[in-house]
Amino acid sequence: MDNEHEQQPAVEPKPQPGFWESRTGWSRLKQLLLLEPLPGGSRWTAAFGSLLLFAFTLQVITGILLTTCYAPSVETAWPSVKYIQEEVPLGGFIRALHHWGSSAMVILLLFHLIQVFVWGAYKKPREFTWMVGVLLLFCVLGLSFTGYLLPWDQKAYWATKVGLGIASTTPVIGDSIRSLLQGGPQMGNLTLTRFFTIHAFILPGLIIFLIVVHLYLFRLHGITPSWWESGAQLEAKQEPFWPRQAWKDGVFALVFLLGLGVWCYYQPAPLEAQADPSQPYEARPEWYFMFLFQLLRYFEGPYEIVGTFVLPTLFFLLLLFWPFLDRNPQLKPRKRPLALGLLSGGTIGLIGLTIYAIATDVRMREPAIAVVQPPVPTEPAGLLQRADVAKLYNANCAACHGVDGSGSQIRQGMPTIPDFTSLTWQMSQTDLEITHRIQDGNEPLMPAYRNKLGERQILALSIYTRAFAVGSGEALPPKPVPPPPGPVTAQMSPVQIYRAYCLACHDADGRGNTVRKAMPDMSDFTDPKWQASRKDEELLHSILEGKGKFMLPMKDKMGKADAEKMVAYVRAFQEGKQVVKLEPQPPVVPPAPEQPAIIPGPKTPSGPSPETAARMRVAASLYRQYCLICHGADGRGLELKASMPTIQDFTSRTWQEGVGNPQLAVSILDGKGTLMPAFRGRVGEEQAQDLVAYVRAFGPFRPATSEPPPGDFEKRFRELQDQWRELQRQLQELSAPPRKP
Amino acid sequence: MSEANDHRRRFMTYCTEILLAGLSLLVAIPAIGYLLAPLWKREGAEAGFIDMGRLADLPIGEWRLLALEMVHQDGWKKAKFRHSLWVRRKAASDQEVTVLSPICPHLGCPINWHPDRSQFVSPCHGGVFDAEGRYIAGPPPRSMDPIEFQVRAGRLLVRWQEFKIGVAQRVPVST
Repeated sequence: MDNEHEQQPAVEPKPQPGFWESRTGWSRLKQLLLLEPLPGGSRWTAAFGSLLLFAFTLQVITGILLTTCYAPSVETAWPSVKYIQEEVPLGGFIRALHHWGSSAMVILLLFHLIQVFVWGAYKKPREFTWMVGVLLLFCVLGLSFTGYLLPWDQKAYWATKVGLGIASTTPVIGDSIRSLLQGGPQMGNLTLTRFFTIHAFILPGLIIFLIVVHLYLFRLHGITPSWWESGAQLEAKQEPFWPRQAWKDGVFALVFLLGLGVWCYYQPAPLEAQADPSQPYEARPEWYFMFLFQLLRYFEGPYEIVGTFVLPTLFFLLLLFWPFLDRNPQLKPRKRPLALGLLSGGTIGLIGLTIYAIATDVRMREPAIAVVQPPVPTEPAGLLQRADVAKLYNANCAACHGVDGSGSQIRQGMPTIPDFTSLTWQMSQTDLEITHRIQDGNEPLMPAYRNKLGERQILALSIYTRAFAVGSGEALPPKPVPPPPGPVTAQMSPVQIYRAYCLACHDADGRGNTVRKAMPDMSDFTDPKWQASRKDEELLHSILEGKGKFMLPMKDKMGKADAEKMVAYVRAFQEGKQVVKLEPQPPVVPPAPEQPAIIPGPKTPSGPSPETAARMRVAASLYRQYCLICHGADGRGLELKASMPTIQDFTSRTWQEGVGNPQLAVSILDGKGTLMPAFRGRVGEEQAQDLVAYVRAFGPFRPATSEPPPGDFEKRFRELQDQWRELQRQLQELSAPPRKP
Repeated sequence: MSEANDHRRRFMTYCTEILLAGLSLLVAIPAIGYLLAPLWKREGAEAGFIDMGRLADLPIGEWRLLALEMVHQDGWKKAKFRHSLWVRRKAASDQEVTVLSPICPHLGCPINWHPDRSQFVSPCHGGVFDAEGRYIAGPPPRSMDPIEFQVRAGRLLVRWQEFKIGVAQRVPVST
């Protein structure tokens, strides 16, 4: 070293060490780092190593930036990544740089490895440089594996699950390795924090250390001469790292950075739906692990371990100890047929497996469907039956549009809700308009069902919507719509929500006395002690997530903001200060158009007299108010069957046949068993009779009041069938060519 | 080494320095932009009025520390924050109410009410305010900050607001 120093022409004459020099010795450092002579001079081919260093530095910088907004826990990981992606200025770009930068690094690593291999740069005395490099390669793969989990989206969750599964096939210690990485028996918070620690501290620290060793060894042995150059040629072309090699490295880095930047600008890093272990998912690793994924398909049963453990371990060991296995001292590629044969075979095999895996992977062909959208609910095979559609409607639409399609239940809160029974509305809508409205929603209140329902289901629902106008036959004066009182609010008011969902059990005064007999845990909202013992967050949680056996979760019925309002509303009952006024019953006004099969179940309408129809509508609204919460929209009571095994299935023939009308009315008025509360006082005797008729309508019989309908229904139904066929034709047209965004 | 060679080398050095500086800038600009994001965050919507309960529940002529809970967008989630307020009803009338922020305008300590002295005292550096919240003594640069309120249907509603501390003027801090 000293000799070389003396031979070096004095680049910087050092008459007097200056202020900085005497205190830091920086020119000696500069001499060591930048001015060491490189035999053979600067060259473009030597720039790959520095480019890797640059790419790693970029990963470190973007990684540090990402940690400023990232919180590793099951509840916060995904929301915080989404926040980075969507809210933080430049957040999406920085995340894209980090995400795609990791892929770029893997490619660069392979390049570097192949280059070093072809040049024979691992041969004596550079064996350790190579081995440290192999360790670096595996550390980088470890980084990408651990980094993959951190966003905690579906892809992350499942890919990691499979990865950990692979780790657990290691003989003897496999399960321990998995538990150690997972931080416990299940994937969860501790997995995230551990992976985060490994990804952000342990592996980068290790990599920095290994890079220092790698660079030290590299400088110690100098650049590997190309096989066509002689020692004398190299000596003659000797020049320092600075500035020519630095320039070449810099140009490479600039091209890399610009390329990556442009790519990231147009291609944001993917973020799928939040991890949900209950959702089926086709797990796939990142593309550079796809060869392993493909490999595992060839080893089944007891041989699986060959693909998961034996081959990868052998590959790693072969790569690591390659310098000691290949003892051929030649550098010329022609004289190393075996080594280069292995290299090209391995590379082609690897690339081939990767391409083959990606090309033959069914899911990868249509990533838009499998990657972006949450899984579409399975549609029943064959034609959708009317009953299925009715169920679909009751489950998805009836909450707002009402079982009768009139939407009158919540028109006060949502004045713009359409009345499906109004002919005027029906005439103003084309079928396609309705379909699109269901598919894409209608701002601000109608949600999009694109991702919840299949296309056939949506088509069927639009036809079902049409069916609400079936019975009306000829043009009718549009139904008078009550003008919305007060300001136009986007949401239902708390009192409306309370009436719709809470009143049936908690009573108008919040005491819940009616059902206390059946539900001894029922809270008394007026009790100050109860009020004091519950925090707002607890109440909010109970409303949204349900509590105990009977309190149903309301999170699919109201948002957090509404639930917060309800907490305040519940608070207001304290000491009996608040009593909810019951919804005024609509007066019985004949004549009203008969509804189609929709009330209450999948029955065909049979045109009862106008007066009966009006009374049935009142009964329907009573049913919604008091009965629906337990007995369900379809009268089967499935939602509460688990906690109330004795709840009756109104659709069951045996039950309908085994119970008489007076008996039913008594049960409604005076309660039955321990669970059915008495509704006397809230429901009049006549209304109880109507409710009995309503309950009967769930059964396989028609109520006796019905008369055979005129042929009108038949005609209308045929029309609908034609429309159905037309819509199916449209659907086929839509789905025949791949849909464009 | 010839002079031309030396000249070329210096030019090369110059170019390399510019290249590397440009490269660093390309990385640094988005990175710094990202880090400085909180500086140009848009102001949140003005907080609404929050119900503090029935006015009739408050005793007349006494300072009470009432807690209020508000929901903020806190990073990636909406979170609840609790603040407190000094509230006093002077008389039975709806408008005879004083609502003061308990945050000391000096350095932000929570101010206490001393009933025996009939004064507000900041426990940190000894700022003293009278029973109306007016500055009397100590380091605070201004009197206690009044909080906007409304009385609707017998209920007290307040709009939480923080003010810049350490200055004589009362400057609202956007939330």
